[in-house]
Amino acid sequence: MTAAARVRPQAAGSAAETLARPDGVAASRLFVGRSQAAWTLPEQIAAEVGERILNEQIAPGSRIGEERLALEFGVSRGPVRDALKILEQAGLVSIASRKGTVATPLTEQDMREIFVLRSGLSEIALRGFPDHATPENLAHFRRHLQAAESVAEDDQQILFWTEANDRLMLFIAHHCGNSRVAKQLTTLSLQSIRYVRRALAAGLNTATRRREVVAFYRGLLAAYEKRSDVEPFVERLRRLINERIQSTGAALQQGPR
Amino acid sequence: MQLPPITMEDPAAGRPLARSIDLPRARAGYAAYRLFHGEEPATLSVKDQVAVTITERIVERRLQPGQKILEQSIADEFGISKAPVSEALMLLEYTGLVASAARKSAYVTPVSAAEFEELIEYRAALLGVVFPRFVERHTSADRKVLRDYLEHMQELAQDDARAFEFVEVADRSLLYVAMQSGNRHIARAMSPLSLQLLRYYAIGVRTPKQRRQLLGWWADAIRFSEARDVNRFMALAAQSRGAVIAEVLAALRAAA
Repeated sequence: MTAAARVRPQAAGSAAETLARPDGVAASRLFVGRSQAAWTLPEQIAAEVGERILNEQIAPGSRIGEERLALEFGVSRGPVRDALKILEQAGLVSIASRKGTVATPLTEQDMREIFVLRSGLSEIALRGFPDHATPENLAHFRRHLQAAESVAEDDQQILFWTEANDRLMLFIAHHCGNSRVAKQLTTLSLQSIRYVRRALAAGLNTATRRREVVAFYRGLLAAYEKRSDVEPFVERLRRLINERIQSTGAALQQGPR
Repeated sequence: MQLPPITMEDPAAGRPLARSIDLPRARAGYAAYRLFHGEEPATLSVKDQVAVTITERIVERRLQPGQKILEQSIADEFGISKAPVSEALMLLEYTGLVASAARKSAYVTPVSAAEFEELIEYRAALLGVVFPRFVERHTSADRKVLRDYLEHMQELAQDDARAFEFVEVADRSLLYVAMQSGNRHIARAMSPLSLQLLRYYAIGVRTPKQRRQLLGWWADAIRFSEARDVNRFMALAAQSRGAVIAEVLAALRAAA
């Protein structure tokens, strides 16, 4: 494995920072299907620190001090350490015994690996959903799709768009009959958010592209409702993800803006 | 703006297997190899040693599916405090061999036909990404490694008492291919998955005939790789997967 060059840090005050942001992006993936009331102390800390990493409030590759977090949250180091382990498992931080903990760096190679795997697993999800396409699940699908469509035309709501779009895919994943595939896709979604946001900041997510994605999901929903063949959609999704790899790669190479 | 939450389906409740199944002896180091993603560390922390031991007990069914794991009794057995035991159990939770209900004691995850099919489907998806790249890009040194594994499998194939070692080496070949893919996300997912699947393979591939068939497939797979023939390689992978699934499911039914 060759070490890919690290992606250059995002310049402060970039376009993405001024946009309205959805809340609980990290937590919704770290603790799928669990109510906030049931989070343990380490989980609450993981949710908060995870969110900061996704926002690049904690920059990729930068150190995360246990002690400072313990002080900030008013807890001992134990729960902070457990929180960092949760985030390590989710791939958002890397813990090295001597060097301490850092927010996982962003690299182009890592981005490619994540999306290639997402592509392969999404196929299983798309093909598995029809067996679980109850009227109730189809209604949920429609709700997710409507949420995505409602923001698809508005450049100012682009962070809500990516979140809604991602949640729709995760909804399919969590109803495809394979909990492992669902779990892995959820983790990969979490790991890809920083890359996706970099691509947004570089202006690579256009309304045309968003319409194409909406059309894809509309077609998929119709296929599920009519119980028709999903293979054309598997093929289309593969193409969409490939395009995403290309454009995100370009965004990463652009570096600071 | 309020987005719909990500919801989850109730995990399919597979029928657990109650009866114990005898396993032939295992090869030393197989658990550490997978727990630590292909590196067999020379020294292990106390936590890691506990994790390896519990893993072996689970895979070899000395701890039964569904059985409770009491931290205190393990701590007593090793003469250590409970802290490294609970850390070890946390590591095993990530591998899927152990689960714990919130704030309750840990237990060995159950095995079932539904669970097995899910694991296999997941791994097939991972391998579906890995195999074509391997066939196209591997080197002759990679083939040599696979041939060495194959040779070792041939030595083991005739001996029923070494059936577990046989499936373990077969599984290692797959892990090797996955590690060579250069996709760390896939490599990381494969090892714990492999530990879970070993629990099933060990009861599925039990006759010399089954093992000879597997040997034939592996030999073909190496030949197709050498010919850079992705299509035949993938067809063979699907065919052998289907056969192994059928064998394991039959064994699970017989044991139920």
